[in-house]
Amino acid sequence: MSNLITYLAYDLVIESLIPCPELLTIERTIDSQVKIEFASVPDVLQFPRFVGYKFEASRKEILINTKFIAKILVTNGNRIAVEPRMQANEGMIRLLLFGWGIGALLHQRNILPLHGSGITTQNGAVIFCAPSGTGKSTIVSRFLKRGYKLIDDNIIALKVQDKTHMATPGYPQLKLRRDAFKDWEKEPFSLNAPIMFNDPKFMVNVRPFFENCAQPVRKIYVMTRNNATSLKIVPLHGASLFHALEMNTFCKQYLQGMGKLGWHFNELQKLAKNVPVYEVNLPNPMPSPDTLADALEKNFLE
Amino acid sequence: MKEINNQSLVARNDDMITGIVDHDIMMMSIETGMYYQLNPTAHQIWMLLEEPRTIDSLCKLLSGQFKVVAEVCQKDLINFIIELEARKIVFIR
Repeated sequence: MSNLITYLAYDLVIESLIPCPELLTIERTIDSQVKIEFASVPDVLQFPRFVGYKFEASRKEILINTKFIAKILVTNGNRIAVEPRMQANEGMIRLLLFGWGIGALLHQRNILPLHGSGITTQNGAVIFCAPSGTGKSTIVSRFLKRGYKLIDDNIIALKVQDKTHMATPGYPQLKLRRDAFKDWEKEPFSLNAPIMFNDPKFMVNVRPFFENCAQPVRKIYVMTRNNATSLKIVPLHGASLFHALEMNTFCKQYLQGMGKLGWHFNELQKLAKNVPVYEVNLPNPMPSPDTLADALEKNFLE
Repeated sequence: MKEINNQSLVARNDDMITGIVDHDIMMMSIETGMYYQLNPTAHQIWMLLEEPRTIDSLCKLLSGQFKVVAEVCQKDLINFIIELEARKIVFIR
């Protein structure tokens, strides 16, 4: 039991036999809600309800099967078993675990995850949703420099508390290109290894800039690269709003096999009624990160 | 292709769920995960199908609510119902 470490992420107490240096550790004073461990994982589910690309899903189990990283089995929203592939890179295993693995777990726990980055502002949390590669982590790094705090860089786990949607902090790490952090002066964070050799981004620890408490979500921005002539931030309504939230749900692929399409539909409606959503039309060429941050900041401080 | 006439009976597929955001009506198939958006007329027809109805009955109810000649209503309605059936949103007998 000496290898068991307790972490806190997304408002979940996680006991893990797999070391996860990017997560925040806590004292083991309360019962854990999730256990993560190395274990053997089957190649297929016995009774899958849905078989997809590199995964199988049923009501209580989700199997993630990649050829070169790991097999992961997520069960009942409280257990994650990881069987690494031979010679798999540990950082990549953890990326998979805290990406698709945690996505599966959150869905099993009836927590709606959005694919986006979140920061805390004076008014509460603000979320930026965008497909990978759009530049949301870079924008977030600009905001951290301006004094805002990071909620998470990849997954926004939403919990409803007294009819308010709360964003629960994940872990203090940003995925950035080298040029995105070169002008940070003597900030006390360490660089970890590049995560993928042909996509030179780095996992950057940002512990001093991390939000520790769940925050009410005030605004959601959906960033779209659509060759607009100029930068425009436009409020969304009705079906376009609903569609934007649906597109930016994290790990949607599991819902059908889990039998949770109806649940998702209802959760999206509740979120749409509660939180204003804006489309950010990004022109070509892209404005500089600071220009974009200025425009967003002006909007969320209104 | 199935023949549809005035006496054909149309029924909802109960695997569809609907929701409203602002004034837009969204619909989703629990079976396929496909999403649809209904305009006000489509929504009205869906509401009238709370119980199975014939094309004839639907036409009578719709022409009471909309300014439309019976023949046009019937033609448009049948075309629409055929589209709904193709997407398994309704069943026709």
